[in-house]
Amino acid sequence: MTRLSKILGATAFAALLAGSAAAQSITAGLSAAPSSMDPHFATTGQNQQLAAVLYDRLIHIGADGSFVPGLATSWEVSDDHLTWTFTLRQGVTFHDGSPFTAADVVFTFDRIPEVPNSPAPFTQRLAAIDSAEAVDDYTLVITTSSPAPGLSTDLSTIYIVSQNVGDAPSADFDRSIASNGTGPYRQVSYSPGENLVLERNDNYWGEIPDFERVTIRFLDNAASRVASIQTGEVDFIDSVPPNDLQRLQALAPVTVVSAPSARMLYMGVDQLEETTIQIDPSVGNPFLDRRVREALSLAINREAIIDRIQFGSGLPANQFAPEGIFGHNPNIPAFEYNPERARELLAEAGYADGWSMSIHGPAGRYVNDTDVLLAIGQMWSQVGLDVEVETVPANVYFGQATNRDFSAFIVAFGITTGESSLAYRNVLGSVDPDLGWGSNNRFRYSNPEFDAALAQAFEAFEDADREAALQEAARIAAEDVAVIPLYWEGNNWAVRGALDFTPSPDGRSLVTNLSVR
Amino acid sequence: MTALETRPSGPPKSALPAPERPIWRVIRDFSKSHLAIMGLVLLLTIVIAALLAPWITPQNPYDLRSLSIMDSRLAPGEVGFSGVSFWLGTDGQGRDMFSAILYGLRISLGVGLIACTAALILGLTLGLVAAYFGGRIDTLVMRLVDLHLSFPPILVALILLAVLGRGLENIVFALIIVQWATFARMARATALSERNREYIEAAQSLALSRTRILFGHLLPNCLPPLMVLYTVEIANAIALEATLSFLGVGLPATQPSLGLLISNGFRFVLSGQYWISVFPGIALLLLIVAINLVGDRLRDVLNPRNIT
Repeated sequence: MTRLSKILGATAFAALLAGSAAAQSITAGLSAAPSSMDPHFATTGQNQQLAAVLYDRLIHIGADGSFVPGLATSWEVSDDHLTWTFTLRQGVTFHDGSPFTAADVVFTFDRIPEVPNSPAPFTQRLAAIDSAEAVDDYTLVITTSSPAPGLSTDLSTIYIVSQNVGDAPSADFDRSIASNGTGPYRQVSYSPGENLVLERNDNYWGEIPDFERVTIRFLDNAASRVASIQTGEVDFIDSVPPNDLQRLQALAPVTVVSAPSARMLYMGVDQLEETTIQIDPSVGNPFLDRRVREALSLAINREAIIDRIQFGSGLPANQFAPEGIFGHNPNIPAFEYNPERARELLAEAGYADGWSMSIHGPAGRYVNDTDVLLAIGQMWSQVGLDVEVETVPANVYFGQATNRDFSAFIVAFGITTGESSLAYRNVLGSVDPDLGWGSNNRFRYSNPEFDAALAQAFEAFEDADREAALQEAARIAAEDVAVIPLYWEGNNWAVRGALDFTPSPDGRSLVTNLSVR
Repeated sequence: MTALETRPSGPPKSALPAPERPIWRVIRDFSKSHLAIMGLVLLLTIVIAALLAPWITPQNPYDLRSLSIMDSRLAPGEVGFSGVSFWLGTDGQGRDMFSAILYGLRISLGVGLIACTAALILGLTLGLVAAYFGGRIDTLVMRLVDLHLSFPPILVALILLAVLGRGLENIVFALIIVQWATFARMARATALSERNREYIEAAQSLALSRTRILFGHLLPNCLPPLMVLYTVEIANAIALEATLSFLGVGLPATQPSLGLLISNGFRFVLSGQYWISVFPGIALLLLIVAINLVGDRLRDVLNPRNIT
């Protein structure tokens, strides 16, 4: 053995030791801070991706999108499709040592509608449930007033808390007093917007994570996230800006993990009335004409946006569900880029001279969102429209969009449940607050044919029927150009040293997906 | 009253030896410094280039129709998709940097000038009124100024823009709000030392109207130090506008000012595409240095202690 290789060997050994010692405790830098640590406060992604590691759910979603047992080991549905019987996992304990029983589930269901000030409540996900009863400690019976095939999906996002939580307010979860779940990690401390410290739950019933302690730092600034992983201040970051992918990839200790996401960005165009707010009433509402919507879609060069603005991260989209998500329709053709045809269609529809309008988008909500909106402005200008581009701070943007202050605007919908039904129900279903349809349908697309196909998907109990119905809904939406799909965002994470990250289909930055390589 | 005013006021002018007009003295003193001349030439070049921007740039960077993202992030000198060559490169939207910089300079200069002039007028009026009348009015105005100056300008501007939203009028308004207090304080301080001078007494003993004393006698004698402050504050306003745009609360994304251009390019600097940030940065630097050179020299020239 030469001297050099001895030194190298020693260094490698030291590095290995250092690696394993460091691996016991890791620091993660996440881009989005939660609005509360109360797992029932908001259904937003940043809240759920933390709730999911602290709390458990009755049903989990597997890597292939199928339902797998969580806190419920098995469940069956009665012949009339109205009664669900869950057999619960035995021997599970909460972080405070108390045993998990059916009463905790019932308590959780009762607590959810009581959480005040929730900006995005979970209540809708329990709407199908008529009553929930703890028959004994490990048997839970849920009855629904009408068949609810979507119940398993809904329950896969309900985080079970201990009944010891009592009537603790959301703030007690932020103070780490009330936090009591059965998840793989338990909450040690939390300071809002700063950090969250987690400790491994060694009594977890499932796969026990590799790390004893995880400190999550909230780094909403992309540049500081990238700098932190470069300098080794953190071992893991999410939402790597596409601009920095190449540079990070070139760094020896850093590995970039990329996966396509099920989050589709689209332009919503107002289709409610004969006029629309951002367009002069004398022009009318051009978006009511399908040819116009198709023309606007033909005018967009999706490849160029992905290549020039997103540095190749992302895939051109033609429907909400990408391949691999239940409900994806493989027969829908890609939306092509053809500005000449777009101009022809606009002329056919009687808009040869175009019209003036402002288009809107959030600033800083999606990756490079301002640039994407400007590019769309460019492309629409080039087929003859007179477009002004306005970006709005993300915190007021969605309120204004819901208020219908915009005529054409950029939004995204991320599928996190492994199937497309929620996307279609919330975004494209005709608005019906009683049914809970169209809650994100800010542009008021409404097509009875589409609603019928979607309704079928919600009634069908057999997977094959459900899939066929969802694919039919996707086909109608694409043919109608209900929205103008842009692309599925790419998800990029970076890990340092001997860590590995396995993306899950929901695209969340779950610290439980981190492991030692 | 009227009888008093019609009396001949003071000795006839011809009785004094004809003094050199102050403006010529200022120009003569100013041109003694080569650095200041350089600054002035640079400033004039920038101003003229900015004014002529629509005629001397190959592209209107604010017209979405003339941009193509296929031309984005081209290095300086590269030839674009449409056959145009971009001597200073292009940004992430395919804007020609040279055009974008000249248009950006127009915005910077315009915003700086308009905001500062308005702030000067507002601050000057309030400062003079406070100094001349004293008492409660003085206390009221000056405590307001104190309150105002106790907040960092960037913070005040950020809050205002967060409430008002983006846009050219809003940023001008925010800059006026941020800057008037500085002018008011300076105007009051100068006016206080001037108001006890003999010519004011003389004017008062002639029972001239207050407005006339304020604006006809007091104001012209307070102007020199304020003009120096004015030039410095223009540079400050331009820098502040750039900062606000850099932070994303200034001008809309379709009309990038220099600050927004720098901020847009910031994301690409580490991946080697330096030109998107660096060139507008240099332009901003040159503009501010030029204004400061001129302002510094003006201060030396107008300082009463330097006048023999």
